[in-house]
Amino acid sequence: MSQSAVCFHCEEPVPLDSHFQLSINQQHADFCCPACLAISETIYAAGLDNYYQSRAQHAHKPEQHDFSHWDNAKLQKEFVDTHDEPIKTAHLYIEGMHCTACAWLIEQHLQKQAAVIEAKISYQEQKLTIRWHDDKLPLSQLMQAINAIGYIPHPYQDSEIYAAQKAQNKKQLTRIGITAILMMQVGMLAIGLYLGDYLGISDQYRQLLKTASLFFSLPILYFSALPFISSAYTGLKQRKINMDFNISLAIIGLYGSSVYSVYSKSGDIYFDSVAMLCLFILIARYIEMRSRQKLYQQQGLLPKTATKVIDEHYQELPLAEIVLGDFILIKPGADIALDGRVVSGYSSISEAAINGESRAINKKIGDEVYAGSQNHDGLLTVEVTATAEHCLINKIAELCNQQESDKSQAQNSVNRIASIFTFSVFLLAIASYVFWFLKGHDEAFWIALSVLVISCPCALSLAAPTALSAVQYRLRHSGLLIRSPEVLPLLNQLTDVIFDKTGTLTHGQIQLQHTHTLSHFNKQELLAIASSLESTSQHPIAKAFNDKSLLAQDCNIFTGLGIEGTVKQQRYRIGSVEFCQQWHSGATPPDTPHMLIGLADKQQMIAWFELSDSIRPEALPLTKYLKKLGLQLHILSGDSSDDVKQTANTLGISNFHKHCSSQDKLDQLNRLQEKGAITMMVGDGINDAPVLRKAQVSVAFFNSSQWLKNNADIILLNNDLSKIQDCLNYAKAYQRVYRQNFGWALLYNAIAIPFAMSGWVTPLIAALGMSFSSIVVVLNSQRLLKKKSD
Amino acid sequence: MQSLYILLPIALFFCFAGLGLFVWSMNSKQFDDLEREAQRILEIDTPPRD
Repeated sequence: MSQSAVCFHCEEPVPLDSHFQLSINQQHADFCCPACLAISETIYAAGLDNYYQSRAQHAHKPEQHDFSHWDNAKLQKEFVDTHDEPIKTAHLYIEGMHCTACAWLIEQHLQKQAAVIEAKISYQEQKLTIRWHDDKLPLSQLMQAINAIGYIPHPYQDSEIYAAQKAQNKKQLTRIGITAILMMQVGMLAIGLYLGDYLGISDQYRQLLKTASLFFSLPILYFSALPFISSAYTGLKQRKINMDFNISLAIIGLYGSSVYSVYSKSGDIYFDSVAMLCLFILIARYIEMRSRQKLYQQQGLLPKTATKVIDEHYQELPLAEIVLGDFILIKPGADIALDGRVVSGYSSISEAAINGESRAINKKIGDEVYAGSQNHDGLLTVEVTATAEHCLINKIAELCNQQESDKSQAQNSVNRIASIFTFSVFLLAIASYVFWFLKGHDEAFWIALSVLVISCPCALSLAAPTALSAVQYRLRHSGLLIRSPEVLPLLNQLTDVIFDKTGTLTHGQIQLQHTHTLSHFNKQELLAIASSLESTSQHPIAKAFNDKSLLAQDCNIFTGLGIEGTVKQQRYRIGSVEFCQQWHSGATPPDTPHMLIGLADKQQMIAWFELSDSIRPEALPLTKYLKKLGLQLHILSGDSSDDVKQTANTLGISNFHKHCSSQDKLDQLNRLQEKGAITMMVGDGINDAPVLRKAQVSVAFFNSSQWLKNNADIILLNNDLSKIQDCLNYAKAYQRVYRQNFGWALLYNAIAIPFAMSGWVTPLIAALGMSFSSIVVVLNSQRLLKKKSD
Repeated sequence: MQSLYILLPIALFFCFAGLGLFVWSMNSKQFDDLEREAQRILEIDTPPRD
């Protein structure tokens, strides 16, 4: 056998020493592994060899799985319908399908099983719906059968958000479809009437066509226009005039007077205008809704079970039965089901679903892993630190949904403008009616309606939200979560950027460089005492001390200074030079460029520790970029060593303040803001929290504390400083598109409304113009989705 | 032209029948998967089971 042979099933090269062969239709076939051989045998034995002719791509290399736990009724509850037992209906997500031939293969293979009543695959959703006699064959056997031909079945579960989105989409599409069909019918009759106007038509037939139009357009009023009318009605009940008010008024006015014209056998009908208006508004809203939905789509499916480790035994359990502190096993290639900390094993993990970072990250004992990320090659045991609903990925989804529900202030002000605008147009319409009526013009009513139709508050109120959801979607994918969208316009007016140093500009992984001993303690003992005190703090400095042999009691943390606590009945202080000098005013620190931490008891200074930290590689390009934009950069650090100066010099930042307490940082910020500065604060520690809250724009790291993340405007999901540059770029693009949208809407209305008021525009043209204007705005915002960061 | 009095009601009937079918097809999930269903007709498969 030659090395170039490829496996008959998966088309991967066959190893030289392989001896897996099969004779198929007198032809010789080689296989790379027993699994592929078994699959091919199964496929041929079942007479399904058509698959090999009609498949579009080669098959995946098979993996064998164990499905026995899925027979557990509790686990089945979520994806199996049991209401006519013993016949059950299960929904399974099939992994590894890559063309419709695969779908065919699975369907056929399952239908050959005696217990199966029906198996049907929806290829687009990669979803199998199967009805079978559960008393004849358990579910696990069916899943095994699917696995035997090379696919991996999983329980199928729509997240609630996704299911709701799907239902909403369907409803909207049905509405658009019906409106479109009706619009064509009404339009056809309208052509007859228009031609009649030119070529002559008897009153009898004109009346017939008008009556027929009335019947065709009945569903338009009662079905297509329903969303606008009900929204306008809800608005009115809250004593608000929303943008649907004028549209509804125009639709009802046009429709009502057309009905009257049919009844009175005189005048024109405008059913075609109503139909067109409804159709185009529905389409514009549909596009807008789709772009909004994109933002909230969950990426991939989270596992529904986890393998719990119980004294050397493994048990597959639903997530609801796993509690904090349980140990779960994560196999190579598996998705991680819950947040946790690695307690044994070593592996690389892709966290793309969480922070958009595509590179795999190495995880060792003590590292955090997050649900939704994918394990690559190693076997891990993880201690669970968050239950399913508290997992980070669900938290992020929740944050996104919150934004959906509480609309930002920027949006409110836009809505207010749109509301005022709507009302003014309403007044203008009445004014033009009165004007033309007094002039004795027959068409006064149509003119007033044209004014209502042609004005386009939708374009005004769509300008911001469509652009916003598009830009948020892009930023989320490059690893930035915008928690408060109202900061986006502020980003373009920034004057000052303030950085914390430790953990922000630097890695925050501080290492002990040198220890000066001043007493009888040896280095080991000093480290133990220092570690026990520091273990109570979350400050990055604490990580430099990691001896766990002693335990400190009664610890008090003095923010920006240090920690005081009791170790082995002795009171100690560890912290800044000043903090130690409060006890020993004569203490003189050694001369060093590095950061200095002192350790003292009541009697004397015990030791000085020299610490240092390395600068993040992306910090320099970022500061260069920010300076090019003409921004003032500052470093405010709690650190008192010359490290601050060194960092500032390396990064070319001239304004730096070392040795700042939280209050000092706040004072500095206040001084800047009094001078009218718009500031962005980038920080990672709890001691930055007051400053982060005070700054107009706050940026926190994903690995900073939960509290900080809840209070920051922007979160860097992959802890990558350079993303700030992307953020500024996108903010600029957002501003640009927003201005274009707003400008367009203003220009359009400023030209169109006077035209309509002077009576030059028929309702049909008005409907066209208005829909066109909305669609321009929506499509312009969609451009942001495609924009590359530059 | 008299025929219009019959033809228009017929058109109306067919239009609404068509709308009804459209709504029915949406609700019976016929537009949910456009790829697999299109190929189903080309397959030589087993006769339907009882």
